[in-house]
Amino acid sequence: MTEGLPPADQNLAVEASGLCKWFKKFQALRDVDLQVRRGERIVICGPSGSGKSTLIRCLNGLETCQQGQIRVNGRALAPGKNNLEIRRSIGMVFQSFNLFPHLSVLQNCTLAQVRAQKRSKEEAVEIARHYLARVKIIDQAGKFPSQLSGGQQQRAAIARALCMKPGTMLFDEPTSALDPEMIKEVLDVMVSLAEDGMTMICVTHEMGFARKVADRIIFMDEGRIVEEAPPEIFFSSPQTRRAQLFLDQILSSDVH
Amino acid sequence: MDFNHAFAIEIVPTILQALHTTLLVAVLSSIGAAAIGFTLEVTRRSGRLAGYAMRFVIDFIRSTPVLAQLYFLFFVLPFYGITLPAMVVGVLGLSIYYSGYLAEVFKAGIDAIHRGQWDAAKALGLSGFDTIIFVIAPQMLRNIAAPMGNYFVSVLKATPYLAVIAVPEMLGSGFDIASDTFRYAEPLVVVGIIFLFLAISIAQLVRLLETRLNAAHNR
Ligand SMILES: Nc1ncnc2c1ncn2[C@@H]1O[C@H](COP(=O)(O)OP(=O)(O)OP(=O)(O)O)[C@@H](O)[C@H]1O
Ligand SMILES: [Mg+2]
Repeated sequence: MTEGLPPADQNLAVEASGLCKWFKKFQALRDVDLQVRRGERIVICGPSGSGKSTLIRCLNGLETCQQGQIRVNGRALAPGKNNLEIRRSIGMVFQSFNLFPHLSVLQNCTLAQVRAQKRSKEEAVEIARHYLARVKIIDQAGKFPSQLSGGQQQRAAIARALCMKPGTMLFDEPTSALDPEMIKEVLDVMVSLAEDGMTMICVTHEMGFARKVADRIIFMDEGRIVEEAPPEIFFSSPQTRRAQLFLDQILSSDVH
Repeated sequence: MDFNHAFAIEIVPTILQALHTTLLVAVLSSIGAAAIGFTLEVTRRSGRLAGYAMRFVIDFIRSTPVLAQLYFLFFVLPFYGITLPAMVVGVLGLSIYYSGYLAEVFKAGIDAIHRGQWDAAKALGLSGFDTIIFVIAPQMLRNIAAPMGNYFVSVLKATPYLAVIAVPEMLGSGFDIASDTFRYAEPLVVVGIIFLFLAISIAQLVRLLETRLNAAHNR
């Protein structure tokens, strides 16, 4: 399943080539190629429905694409299989947090460590507390998700993903569901992750964040990667009209 | 025919002797029905072919009379060399029959869970089994505590069917008294009151479970 991909390169965290994905008749991804080096920070942006979520959901196998290959840390993602090992090496953070509502914050962070990583309960709790402290909600460890603010919930979700000690983190619009005053606390955590060298693929429209941490911006439209450039180039001189229009919209709405 | 209070009280101990059978059958059948129903529903979701197969099984179970199922297990299985004690047949029969209904209840309870819960479990690398047991089932239970409780009451009320395969349950033992003494009102009223009491107790237990699940969930 790795034809179409060059031989595995140890410096690459994620490689995708020729991804095509259809929902029924509708094509959501059109021949997408993507290579992400270890430690690289990628920001994916683009209009609604352009396939950003679909792309990053394909990277950890939440969606299966009908064509193309994906390799994570040199290991091919097998379509239709469970790919548990690969999933455990990629963390994912969702727009809607998706914390488990029946478990406390601490239990949210230990469940997969104990069940999937086979860590002991004590070790899992220790690791969970470490990451909860890192995202500054250690004092909320015993609470249930519904007792936290949106920003706290998202930070808990980030901690939960970090507990698996992933080499790569995927973020799908992590701040879109948050009130403005909570966006910063989540972005701060993401910036600090980036500073620590985490490989990050972020779908976000937070252009300030993109400018600050992204090594590369990927602009998608209608299921394609239309532009790919370092932020200073992308923001100052977008090559396509679509990207120009998109930036005008985003930046003008940023002012308000 | 006058209602004889003294007689009614006199027969209570005899009827209560059958209470433990009724309770045992009701509890075991409820557990069995929940276990089978949950398995059916989870299997139904596991794939396309399994989906069609389980859909058929669930509809088949629900659209044949419980008595027919009991008679089948009791009278037909022995022809194939499977002879089970009446009590086991009874529990098995009620478990299977109500599993069809509980599978539907579980379906609604699982459908109501946000898709993101499955995504998060998958993204964390939880196995399918762990996802069902640790993520989906607890949230499902909270969604369906009330309708599930109603079916447990139904299971209880269906235990008298087992009289047809000679399981000594409560209504049967009341009826034995009636045919011996030709007094029908007293045994039936006594049995009815005990059933009422049991049904209310189950409903209360379920309500308790519901508040506890909600408490854990909400604050
Ligand atoms: N499960 C699905 N079934 C059918 N169509 C889908 C499904 N998921 C996504 N799509 C379609 O695929 C296209 C791409 O969706 P996707 O969610 O990837 O877009 P997006 O770029 O993330 O958009 P947004 O900014 O709104 O999140 C959309 O047109 C969407 O309607
Ligand atoms: Mg999206």
